[in-house]
Amino acid sequence: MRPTLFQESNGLAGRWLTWRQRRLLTPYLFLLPVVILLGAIIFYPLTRAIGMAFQYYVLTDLPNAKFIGLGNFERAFSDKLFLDALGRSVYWVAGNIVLQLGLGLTFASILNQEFPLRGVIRGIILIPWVTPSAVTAIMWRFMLDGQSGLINDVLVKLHIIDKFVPFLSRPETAMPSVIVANVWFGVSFFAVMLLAALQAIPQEMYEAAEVDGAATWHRFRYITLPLLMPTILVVTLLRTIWLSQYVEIIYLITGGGPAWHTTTLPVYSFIAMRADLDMGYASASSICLSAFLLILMIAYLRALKRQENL
Amino acid sequence: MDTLVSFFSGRRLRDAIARGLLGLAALGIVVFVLFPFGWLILNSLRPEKDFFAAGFSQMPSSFTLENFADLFRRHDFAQYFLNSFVVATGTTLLSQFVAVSAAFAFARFRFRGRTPLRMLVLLVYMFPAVLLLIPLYIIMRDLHLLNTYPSLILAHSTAAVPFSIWLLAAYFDAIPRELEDAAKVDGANVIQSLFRITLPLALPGIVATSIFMFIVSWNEFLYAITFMSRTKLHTLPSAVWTITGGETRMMWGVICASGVVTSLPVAILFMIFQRQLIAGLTAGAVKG
Repeated sequence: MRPTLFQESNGLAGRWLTWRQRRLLTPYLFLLPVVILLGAIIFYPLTRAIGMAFQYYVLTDLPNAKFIGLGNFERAFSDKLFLDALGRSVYWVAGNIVLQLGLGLTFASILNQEFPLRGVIRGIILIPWVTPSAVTAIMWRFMLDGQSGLINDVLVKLHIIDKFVPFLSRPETAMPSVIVANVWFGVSFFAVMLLAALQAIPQEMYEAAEVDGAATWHRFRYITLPLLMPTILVVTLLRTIWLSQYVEIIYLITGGGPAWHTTTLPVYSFIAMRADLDMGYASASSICLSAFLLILMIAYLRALKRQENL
Repeated sequence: MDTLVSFFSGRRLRDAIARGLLGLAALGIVVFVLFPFGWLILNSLRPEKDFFAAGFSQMPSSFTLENFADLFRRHDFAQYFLNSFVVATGTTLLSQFVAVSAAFAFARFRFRGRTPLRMLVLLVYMFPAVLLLIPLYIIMRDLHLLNTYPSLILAHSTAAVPFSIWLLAAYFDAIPRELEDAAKVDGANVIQSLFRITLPLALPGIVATSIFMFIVSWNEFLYAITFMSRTKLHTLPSAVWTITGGETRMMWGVICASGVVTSLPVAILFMIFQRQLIAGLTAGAVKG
């Protein structure tokens, strides 16, 4: 009988690995691909990003690449565009979360009820999530267009406005418009997660409350909301982290314009890299973004822990 | 007569109204989700001259497939479609190899560093994409991998793998060890038991993760536009963006058609595998 990986081999105990050693090594062998992949594509680039942030590293000026310490960071914090982008990131995240949470909760509540075709609609609600961001972008860019846009047409016909508004070219309306597009895109996630949580609430609790005479509003406030809170908090945290670094839809719809009015922090870094080829500065600003995110996460988790201990 | 009176003054009416409102609300959701798509498709069939017309009309003056023909004649969309397909398929294959191996290790073995490693794998989602993109661009440049398929396949795999490992490990956990032990008694080694026992039983998980990997890769834009600067190698999302930018006059008909072509495969995949996908996502949430 030939010795296999798991079978003991008496006469060949001297082979390069003993049975015991092979057994210990096996899991690590299976983990090798993921370690190599993530190491090479995530963690190694991460260290290089940190390195570049402290350098003057512009691709069109490589001979002059040198270590400049905190130079990039100083430049960032005195750059009006950077600071504006920071403020816009906050606006972007807050706007998105409020709308996505509100709509998501509404949709989930509706889908939690019994009605025919419920299963079909639950499937449909995920469609925005699987749509390519590029397609979402052109959908909404088209609808918001200042000349051929559907939204303009409808608003004029309803006499809400009297002539077409170029939503995406006007500084005041650009960001809200992009937020709307992204809300369409992101509601799915909230809706699906909240629906799953709603379904986990046992029917008996509602029935008991109804027997005790609780009105619909009370049932929501004292049963649904508390049981839903953990999910709401977790999903909100995840989406906040995701939104803070999200570039695609913003860049696809407005490229950060008009005049930087839709530029959030990650978009700013992306443009610094793409347009100026200033890798050092771009890395530094993304590191600032990561630092803010980290602080946000820690603060949030601390608050969460405190709430649990109450 | 009596029943009529009782209907209008009793619970039945309230219930009927409630149900009516619910139906309306459900309809609202459907409209919210599907309307932008419907508008996209409608306008992809609209002749270009409609957009030059003075007034705005809801319905197209006529229906035409000219825009789609344009995509393939003037805009090389067949090539872009191929690029997206190659990258997405490559991503799925590589990611499955990596994810299945790792998930198997996490589910079936006890070893030092197991829990921290499992956390670390999910931690990668916390890093901003733009942060990693910048050095990765330099690395790819130095390795002469820019404008090649492997650059995107590798990058996309890192996005698809962590979640897939999490999902697959949950599926593997659910398969009783006795089955594999029985195989071991019969003389199978680890690899054989993996392929003949574990994987077939975890097939729903494999399907769900494969669809997930394909869609993630197909839809991706940021890395695609950064690594593939040569137009001939553009993936579909990059191509869509390129036709939209740079034109002084927006060719909305063609642009909408490009959107339809780009989302068609993922829409189809989603329709077919919808149940598996949702089951996979929520099952992972429940088990994990």
